[in-house]
Amino acid sequence: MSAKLKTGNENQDVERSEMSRRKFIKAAGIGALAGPLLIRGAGADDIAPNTLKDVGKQFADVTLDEEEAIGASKALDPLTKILRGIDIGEEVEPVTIFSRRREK
Amino acid sequence: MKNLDLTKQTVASLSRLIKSKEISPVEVTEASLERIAKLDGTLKAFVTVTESQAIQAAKDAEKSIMAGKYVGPYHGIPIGLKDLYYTKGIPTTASSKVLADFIPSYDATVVAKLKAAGVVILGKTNTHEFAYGYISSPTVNAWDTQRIPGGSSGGSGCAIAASMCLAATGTDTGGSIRVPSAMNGVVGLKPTFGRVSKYGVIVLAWSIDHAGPMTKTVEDAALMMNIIAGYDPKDPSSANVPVLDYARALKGGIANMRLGIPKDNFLEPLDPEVSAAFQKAVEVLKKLGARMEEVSLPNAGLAGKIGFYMVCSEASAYHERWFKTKADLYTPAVRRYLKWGNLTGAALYIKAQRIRTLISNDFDLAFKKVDAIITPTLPITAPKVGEDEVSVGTTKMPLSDACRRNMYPLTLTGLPAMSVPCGFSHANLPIGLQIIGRPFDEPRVIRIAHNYEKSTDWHLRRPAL
Repeated sequence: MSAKLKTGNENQDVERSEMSRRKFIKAAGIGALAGPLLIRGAGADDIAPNTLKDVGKQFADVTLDEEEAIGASKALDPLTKILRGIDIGEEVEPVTIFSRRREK
Repeated sequence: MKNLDLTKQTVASLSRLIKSKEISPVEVTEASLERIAKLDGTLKAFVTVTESQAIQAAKDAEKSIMAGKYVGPYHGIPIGLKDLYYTKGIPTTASSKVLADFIPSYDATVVAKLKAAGVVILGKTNTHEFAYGYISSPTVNAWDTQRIPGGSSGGSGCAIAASMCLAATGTDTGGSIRVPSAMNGVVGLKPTFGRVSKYGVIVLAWSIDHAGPMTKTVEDAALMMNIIAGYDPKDPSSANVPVLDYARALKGGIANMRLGIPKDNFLEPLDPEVSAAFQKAVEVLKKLGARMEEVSLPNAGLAGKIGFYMVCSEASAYHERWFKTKADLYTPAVRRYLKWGNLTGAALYIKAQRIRTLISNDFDLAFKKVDAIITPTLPITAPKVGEDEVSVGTTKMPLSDACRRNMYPLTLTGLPAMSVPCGFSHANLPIGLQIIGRPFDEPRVIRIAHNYEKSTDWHLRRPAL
């Protein structure tokens, strides 16, 4: 089922959008959405560099040196947290190349 | 016309002279090649210059025109092609050692269309390696060689601003047409997803990549769109939607057009000079009769983050075959990104795609209220080479975040977005205005941009080179 808001009632749509936004913020546990300091403040230790080294080696055939593992941790840990923290609701379908073709 | 000042010409103005046989494509091409010879040692906008082929193509164009076979406004016009576009018999390297020896056996659809329209290809313009970044080294900014040109289509932006070519092609995944357009003071259009074929264009991220024109003026962009837009069965993401005459969109005003200004995410923070230029642009548009309305795009603030996550994932999938055997040939930064992409999770990638749906819904709602949306293209002007962190007003942020913020919402949603020059900083650096339209509503975007451009003279300024 498409999550597009098709009620035809603009005010209601806006309200729903605002509710969705608040739900987002609350679920993500962040005060402001995706601010520039978010990545740095999100705590890069949870997905530790050594963990990424192991995961890379075992699951992705990728070898990370120390510097690359630290960089990966700093980049991917906050992104992962943001994505995990958001509760979208079951009705929202993903955009894919194929769904984009259907839209046309 | 041996004294032709190429720096003052546009495709539209030159095409009139070529059509009337007052000037030869050979003269124009020679003037461009002379300018490349003079400037490109410093600017480094081209990775390949196809001098002999260009002269031959110009002679062929001249012959056709003299025989009465003029085919249109780009006939005999010298252009550059971003080095991601396949060009038959001409190296296509994506500015990477990985593809240093690659010479395609066919043209990208866009290249084939441009050739059929009679263009003269001067060469291939530099891109950030595989379009994976905003620096585009070693190309420098045409306005200040100590600064970056933006990217990834930095070579195209620089080459146009420096009048080494009249127009060029770009690609845009996280802003790679609009960022260098804004930083170099030229016009760039990221069309609707599916509007311009990507067949034969090297991939960064399948579901987010776009191809489009970069030019000196809105009119020149419209004229190029008339050539390159359209359905291409060879491109699985191409849209089978009727193509309009984009040049017709240049006619008519924008009185009573409703323009949205986002109340969240796009305007905070901004460099004060960018903010001032944007406010002045708003006033110009109001004087032209446009009505401003605030719109809410609450989820757009996530676009930079999830866009990067998706690009990481898709790019690593695309590069898998080369990465296994040629990892050492990538630059360290791109090699690092490609490793990160192998560590992203499939479930989270899908979740990012679902958030993408929500961002699209925001725009759907906004476009019930307004006809188009305007924002500053970037929150900053071009930073100095080597600056990884930039000041945006009082906020410091990574350069990549500053470049992504106002860009990814439009590539993730596939909406058409154009950057036009809207001012200069005190350091004489260009500032861009972004105009965003509904899907396939490029004509309205072009009309707004053209009306704004006619009312200002920012697009007439050229760097002192």
